Amino acid sequence: MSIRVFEGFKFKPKGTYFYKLDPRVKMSFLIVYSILTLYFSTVVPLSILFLFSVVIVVSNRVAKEWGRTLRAVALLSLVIFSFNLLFGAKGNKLNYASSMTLRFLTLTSFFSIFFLTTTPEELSEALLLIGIPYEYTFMFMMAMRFIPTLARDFQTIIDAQRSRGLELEKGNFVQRARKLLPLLIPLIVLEIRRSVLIAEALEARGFGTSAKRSTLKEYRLSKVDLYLLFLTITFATSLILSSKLPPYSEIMNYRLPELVP
Amino acid sequence: MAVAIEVNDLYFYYERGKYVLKGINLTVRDGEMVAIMGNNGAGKTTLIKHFNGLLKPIRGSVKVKGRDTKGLSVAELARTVGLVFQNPDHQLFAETVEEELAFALRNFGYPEDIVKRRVEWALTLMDLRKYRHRSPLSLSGGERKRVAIASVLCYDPEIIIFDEPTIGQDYYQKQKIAQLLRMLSRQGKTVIVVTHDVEFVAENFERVIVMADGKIVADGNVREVLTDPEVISKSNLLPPQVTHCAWLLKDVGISPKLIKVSELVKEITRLFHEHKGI
Ligand SMILES: Nc1ncnc2c1ncn2[C@@H]1O[C@H](COP(=O)(O)OP(=O)(O)OP(=O)(O)O)[C@@H](O)[C@H]1O
Ligand SMILES: [Mg+2]
Repeated sequence: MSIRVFEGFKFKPKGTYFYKLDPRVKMSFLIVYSILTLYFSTVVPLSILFLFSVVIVVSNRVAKEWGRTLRAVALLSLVIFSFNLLFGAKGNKLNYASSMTLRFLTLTSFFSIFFLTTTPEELSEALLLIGIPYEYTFMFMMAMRFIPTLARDFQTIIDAQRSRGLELEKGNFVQRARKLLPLLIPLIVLEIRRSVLIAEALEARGFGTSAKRSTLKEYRLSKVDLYLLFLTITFATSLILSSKLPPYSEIMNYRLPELVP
Repeated sequence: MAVAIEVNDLYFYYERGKYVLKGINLTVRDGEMVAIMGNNGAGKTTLIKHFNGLLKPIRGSVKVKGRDTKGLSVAELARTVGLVFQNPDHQLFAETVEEELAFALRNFGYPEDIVKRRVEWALTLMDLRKYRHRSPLSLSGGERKRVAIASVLCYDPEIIIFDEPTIGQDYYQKQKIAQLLRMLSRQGKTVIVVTHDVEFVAENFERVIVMADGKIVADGNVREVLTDPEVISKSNLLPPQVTHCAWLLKDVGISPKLIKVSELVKEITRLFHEHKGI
């Protein structure tokens, strides 16, 4: 169940148009829309952004995987909503809570689109292109690569300890917290052992010897890339402009009514 | 004899529709010693996880000592069924070997004096006395495996299942494990061992179950199963080296049904004497 959250963040080959884009374009797309999502704080533009992401998801046939992740974070967004509604900033709490929740969902959605349609190789290429050193990019890639392995290890550890009579469901809060030790210690030890092993294997094969790396695939911007880049910029600019200029700005900055205390 | 484990038409999948076990039927009687073989991914580990309730059948049933596992928790079943996992690193966590062995006993709520006695017994049995105060994580791979075995043996379950106990053991320790299995069997325990080591099976077991692709392709006497060319090829097994030799020497009159080194030696000696006689 918990592993399902990641389903919308794992590459899923479908071959639709978004897959064919240059990783740099996809990265810019992600960055532009993440910034936009953080820039707006009212319900209307955030809803537009969310719907826009849904259009991309559906037209790329990844709705199933995307849906799993969104459903998995639904509970979390409910928590965000109620927290903000109860303890949120002064002023219009309903409006604030709704926009924060929408913002969270929209961000999740855009990240999900990016990870669903980008292979790990493209991802590392994209990270390199925004200036992150290869060592860090590589580290990040390895971490991503090992999430499913880690999940499987953890399941086996739980099974092994349950076979020795560990009952996770029993006991009060403190007792239950103590029962995490037999689960977490093997996991941490196992992963440290594994990372040392990987580091040694990498060094043995000369990782980091050459400063300049070449890549198997060279990326060139195609026509579709340029179209999408153009579209992204136009859409983003028009969203920002319409929030500044009347008569649209009134709709864009619409606030939900205050809840009667 | 009474039935220890009864599996009826068991089907199981991890991901919907991708069946890993497809209609398993088997019965293990009290006190039997059974080996389970089969290529990687055949479903052996998945099958034995059904024996202590970690996994529940999607179709069919698993009964342990006559009780259906469906309604039982792992903790309830674990007292009767001990399961030693493939990789000891998936379970070792305590500060000392002693503590590691006491873990299961304390979970089952045994009083401290019994815990102490049982730990002492298991330490001796698995040749671990000198490591009792060491951290189990600091031991060698083979030693860690022995701690994992001891940590299950110490609470004396009636049915004991090992997932690949001989991996990473040197020849001496492998012999010790074989001895241990026979000792447990003599004490009346039901012993089930998953292994890839066909020589180990040939020398130490009477009954073997061979799995391939989620199904049981053979179940019976070790000699009959391991010398059956059809079973061997269907399950991607290699026959014991002795059997292989015997097959190649068939033309000079050696029986193709040999599985133990001692048998081959006897057979060759017999032939030798016969020919000297001519
Ligand atoms: N937790 C899991 N989630 C999904 N699939 C799994 C899981 N565990 C095992 N499988 C799959 O089920 C199949 C059977 O695995 P299993 O571990 O039972 O094989 P095995 O016979 O024990 O193999 P080995 O000899 O390698 O230990 C394999 O195809 C494996 O990929
Ligand atoms: Mg296995």
